Amino acid sequence: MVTRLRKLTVIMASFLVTLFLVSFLETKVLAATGLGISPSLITNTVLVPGSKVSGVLTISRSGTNERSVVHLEVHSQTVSSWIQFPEGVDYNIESGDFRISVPYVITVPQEVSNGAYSGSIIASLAPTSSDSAVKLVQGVRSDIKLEVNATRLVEDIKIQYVKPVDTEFGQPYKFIVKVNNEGNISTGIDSISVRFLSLQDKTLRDLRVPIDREVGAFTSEDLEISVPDTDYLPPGNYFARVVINKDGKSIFSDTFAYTITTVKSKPGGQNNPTPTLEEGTIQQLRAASFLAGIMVALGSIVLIIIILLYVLYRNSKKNSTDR
Amino acid sequence: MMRVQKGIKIQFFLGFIVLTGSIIFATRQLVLADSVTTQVSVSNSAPVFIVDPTELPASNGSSPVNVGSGITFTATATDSNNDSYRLAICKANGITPNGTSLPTCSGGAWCISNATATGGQSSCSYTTQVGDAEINAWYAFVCDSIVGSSCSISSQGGGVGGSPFEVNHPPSFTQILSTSGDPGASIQFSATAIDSDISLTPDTVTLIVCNSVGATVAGCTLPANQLCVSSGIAQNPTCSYTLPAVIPQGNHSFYAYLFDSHGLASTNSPFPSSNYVVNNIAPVVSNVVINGGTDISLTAGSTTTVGITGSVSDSNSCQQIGAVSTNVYRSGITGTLCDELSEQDANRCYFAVSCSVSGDTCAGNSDASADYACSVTMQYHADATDAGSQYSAENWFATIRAIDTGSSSGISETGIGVELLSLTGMSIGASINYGNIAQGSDTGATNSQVTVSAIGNVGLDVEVSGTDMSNGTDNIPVANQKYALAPFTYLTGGTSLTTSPVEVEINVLKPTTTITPSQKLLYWGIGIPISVGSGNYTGNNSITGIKGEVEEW
Repeated sequence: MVTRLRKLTVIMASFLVTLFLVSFLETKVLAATGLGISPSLITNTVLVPGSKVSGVLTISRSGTNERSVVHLEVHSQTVSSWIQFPEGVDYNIESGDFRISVPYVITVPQEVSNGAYSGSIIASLAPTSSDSAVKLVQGVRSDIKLEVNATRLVEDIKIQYVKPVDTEFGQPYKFIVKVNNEGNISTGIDSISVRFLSLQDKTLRDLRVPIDREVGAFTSEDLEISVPDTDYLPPGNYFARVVINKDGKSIFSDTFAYTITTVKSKPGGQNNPTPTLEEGTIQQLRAASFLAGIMVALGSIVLIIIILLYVLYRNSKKNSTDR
Repeated sequence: MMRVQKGIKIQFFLGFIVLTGSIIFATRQLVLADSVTTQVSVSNSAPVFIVDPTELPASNGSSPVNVGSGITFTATATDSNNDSYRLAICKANGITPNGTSLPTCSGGAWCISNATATGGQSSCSYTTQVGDAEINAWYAFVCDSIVGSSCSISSQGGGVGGSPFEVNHPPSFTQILSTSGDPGASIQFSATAIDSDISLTPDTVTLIVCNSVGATVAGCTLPANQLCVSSGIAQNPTCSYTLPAVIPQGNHSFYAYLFDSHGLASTNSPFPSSNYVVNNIAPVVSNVVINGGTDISLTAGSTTTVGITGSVSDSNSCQQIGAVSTNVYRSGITGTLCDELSEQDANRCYFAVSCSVSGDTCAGNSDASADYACSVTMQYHADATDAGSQYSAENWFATIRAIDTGSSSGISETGIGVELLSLTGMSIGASINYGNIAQGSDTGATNSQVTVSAIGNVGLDVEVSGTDMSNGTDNIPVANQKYALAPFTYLTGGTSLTTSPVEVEINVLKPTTTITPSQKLLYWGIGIPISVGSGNYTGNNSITGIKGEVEEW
């Protein structure tokens, strides 16, 4: 019995020690200051001289909630001058924050020759004060790999997303189309086709709108597209099947819930103006009101005279009877 | 007045004749005999109609009296004996006077009036009964109300106010049924009903269905609540109603009214406990967007909240959308391998993260659609899919799954996946401290250790570099520091540190869990030149984490 109890005690103790060690290891990893950079690789293989590409680096840290100072450096003999950080190269990650966004712009010089170019961006934490003789400077690196080819023109347009915008009854249907031009020449989409369906999947409208706007190379743009209709759908819930076309081909297709709302009442607004009277009408009403007042006064006077005459008549009749 | 004078004249005339006759008779008796006794008895006369009986309202086949409504019969009579009289409306042509009591109609009476003075108008009323025949003949009599009373001959009046009176019976309404339907579809209400009245033309029946109580033959009290109205037909009317495009599933009360062609409702209108059933329709999920359509960037050693948005439409209304959840996964996994709890894996599959309605996008039970937002907490080691990563040909996708209150579900996947960006994350677990070493000595087989942990989603190598360690004007050259991936003896092992970064293939594996750290040790040693003076020497060593070769993650 005693032996069994001892065994049980040993097992319990082992369990607790293991639990402690696991906790310790976990704590140890998280307690150390960590630094991260994302993405690990910045690459573009369709650059041409003069190309301008923008992006965002994410610098993050872990293991401490104290303010951290991060410094950025570009390491490359060639591309270091191509990369600018519009918001500088020194950043503070304040207490309570664990990540910052660092925008960058890569500008390919006009006179650069075709070829592959590489470099790196190193984000490093300022060395922390330490009792040790060797202070560790902790850093993380993001590599840069670029290819420049002046003769290789690439048209590469992508739809990042389409957002339907609910509209009031009678207004053109609206969609926000986020277009990413990942190519090195300006381009655009040709048209947007919208098929409206009832919730029961019955086709109600087939509409198509040509799009005559270009998006610059290596840029993203939100296109607000209005789709007019000759006979607007009544308020309600619908599905909108959106197809975006480029060079006669569909480059995007998806179905969205679309709501048409009732026209909101806007007192005094354009949709529902507060009724007002014209000046002439007001004057007529004032004149009519004045006349009505006179008529009432005259009527009252006549009524009083009649009553008086009647009273006099009654009195005179009574007197004659008494006699 | 004229008639009364005329009656008096007649009485005088009759009296004169009787008197003349008596004189002649008496004279003859005097001639025939010497002495004769005389006697005369004047009998009671029955009252007579001077205004024909009539019914009010006047009824006929086209305007019968509804069951439960009253009919008033009126007539005027005179009695030569100046007796008061009663008006009796009998069901058959026969009556027995009963002195001052009510006379007795043969076959029963519709009604008998109170005693009325001669020459005055008499009336009595009858409330029609369900059991009455549709056509009911009546016979009017006037009887004086005296001992030894007598009654007139019958009269049935004339014209539309004359006999018979016609009774309209409520239609029979025994059953109401409705079909079920999907939102936006047509459902039919069918009544089992008939009307037995056939006078002039057979009555028709009309079904009116409302979704609130109250209706007349003209329709539901609140026109907006009228579901449908049938045409008037001989029996079993039906009508159809197109359900709204958005309507909650389940039972919906309705109130069925049945009217005949004279506007009389059945006694059981509205028909009790009636419901129509709207079918449950599965929700439709659309517009699933992960992280706003932009690439996902994680946080070193920590979690990152990634937003998933989508719209859910349900023809049974957005209020009947129940649980909405999202699965987020690397495309190589596909949605089918990330739809069970057992497939949850923070590297590639985030399963069943619940979503909530965004703002006030669900505007009530006539609104089908609502927007949903889901927040997925992604770990720093989730698989990267951008260029130069293990799964560069893939993307991250999300599905949103909605289950409605009727247990039907809908699911949709993001149309366009996004990249999950590679994150080079490194944590250094300790500092380098060589301790006290004499001039001309080194650390020998004793190494200072630095733990290098990967806290991103890539495998790690490191670059190392350093500076000379200095103490005033004395320097320990950077090359006197050595490092290695395993414990080493200073004189025989290790690699000398340089001022320019040198890549070390430490190959810390990509972390796959937060429980077991992915880490390796970097070993350090130092040799102290004999020429330097005693003191504390300090310097900087740089350790920079770099993405390791993919095949070594």
